[in-house]
Amino acid sequence: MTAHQSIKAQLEMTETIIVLFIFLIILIVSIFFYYQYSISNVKKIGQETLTTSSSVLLSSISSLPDVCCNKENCIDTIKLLAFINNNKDYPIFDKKTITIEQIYPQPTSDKKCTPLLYNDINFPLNCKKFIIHKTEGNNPQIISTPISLYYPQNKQYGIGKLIIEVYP
Amino acid sequence: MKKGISDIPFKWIFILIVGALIIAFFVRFAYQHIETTNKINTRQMIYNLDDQLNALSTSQQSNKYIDIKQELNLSCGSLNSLDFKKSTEKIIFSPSTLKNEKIAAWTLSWEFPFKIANLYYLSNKNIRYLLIYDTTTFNYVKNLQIPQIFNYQLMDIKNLNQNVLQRSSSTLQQVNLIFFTQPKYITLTGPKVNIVVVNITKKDIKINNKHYTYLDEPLLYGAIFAPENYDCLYEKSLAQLQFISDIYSQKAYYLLIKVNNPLCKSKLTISKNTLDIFKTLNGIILYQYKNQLESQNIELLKNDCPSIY
Repeated sequence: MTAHQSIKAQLEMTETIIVLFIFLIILIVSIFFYYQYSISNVKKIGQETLTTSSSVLLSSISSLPDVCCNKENCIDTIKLLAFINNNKDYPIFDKKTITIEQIYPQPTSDKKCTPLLYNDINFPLNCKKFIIHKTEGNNPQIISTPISLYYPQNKQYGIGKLIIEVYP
Repeated sequence: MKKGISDIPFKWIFILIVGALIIAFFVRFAYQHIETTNKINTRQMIYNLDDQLNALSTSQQSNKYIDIKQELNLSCGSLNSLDFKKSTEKIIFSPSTLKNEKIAAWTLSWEFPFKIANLYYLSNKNIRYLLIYDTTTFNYVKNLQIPQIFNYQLMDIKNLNQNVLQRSSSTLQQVNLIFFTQPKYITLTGPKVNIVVVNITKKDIKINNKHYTYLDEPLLYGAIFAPENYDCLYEKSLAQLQFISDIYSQKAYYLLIKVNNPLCKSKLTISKNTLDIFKTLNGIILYQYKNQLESQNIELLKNDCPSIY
């Protein structure tokens, strides 16, 4: 083997390694972008699933036996107070804050409705909202729907708003 | 010259090793991708099923077919597929395994005497239900409200024949024989056989020599659809009945605070006391207290008092 041939072989080897190196860099960059795309896709699917289940919950909560009126499609406010008092947690409430706001008759206070406020003669005007489930977090997606509220103590109906805040 | 010749095999060995590594990497990458896609599909399927069941619960009674892509395993408190498990508060009467195909879903509001829960029933065409009656139970069995989407038939005990049943059920996954009469013990080669014996006068169900009370038809349907899980699902249903009864007991208490009419106060106190006992009971005695609660509620309505339910 001459010196010229040895240099040529070394150059070919270096060339192969450089090509391989460039190939690996391109592969790593492609995989990086692919994973970025996959992660964002999975996040998107997760978000869509959460939004769908929240929309379903929005329509099904007024038929939850724990809080619903027995025959009509409404929320029984006294059962609601008892339910909040019992603090029962359902898996479907996970990552959500669920609130019922009284709209009509219009409350005179912004307070949270509690058994203590119920004892007051001014109930239900002395409080604004019933918090069914609370989750702490940032930037929630908020969905809401109007619902019928029933006050069994005076056999009257009111209008409320069911609000679900979904945390990603 | 010899050194020059030995350079070529070295280059090929190098290419072979690097090539094998790259192929191994791509194979692993492909497997990981399939695994991740399966995991996502499983989660989507379970969440979709749960959502569809929630949507069904808005009505008193409804049924539909739901497509599932993978095998679904159901236990008393969870929906599982592959490695994913989602806990659920729903009371779902179903065989332990449903293969990947169209499944029939039915929901029914269970009222005892007030709404306790929506009960769910899942099955598929590979599971057959035979409701076997005699002359005394024919009318009762005929009036059961099982939707046509399920693979069920009514049969007179006189027509029950092991050979005929074997021929017509050999390809099925499971056969549930529900006797509303004295049972005949039948064994089949192929499908799994569950035998349930129902005594409609005593409101009693016998599954694997163990007796249970059924609290109205929704729980009887539960025994028909899930005899293997009935024990646990009955307990879950009873826990829900106790929880809802407690909610109504508290409701009676809150109403008592606001009511001024002495007659209403006295009637509400009676109802609250009945509810406080009702929520602690189990078994056939619950029927007696259910009837009491119904008549007490009618009394409240008659006297223009706020009713319990």
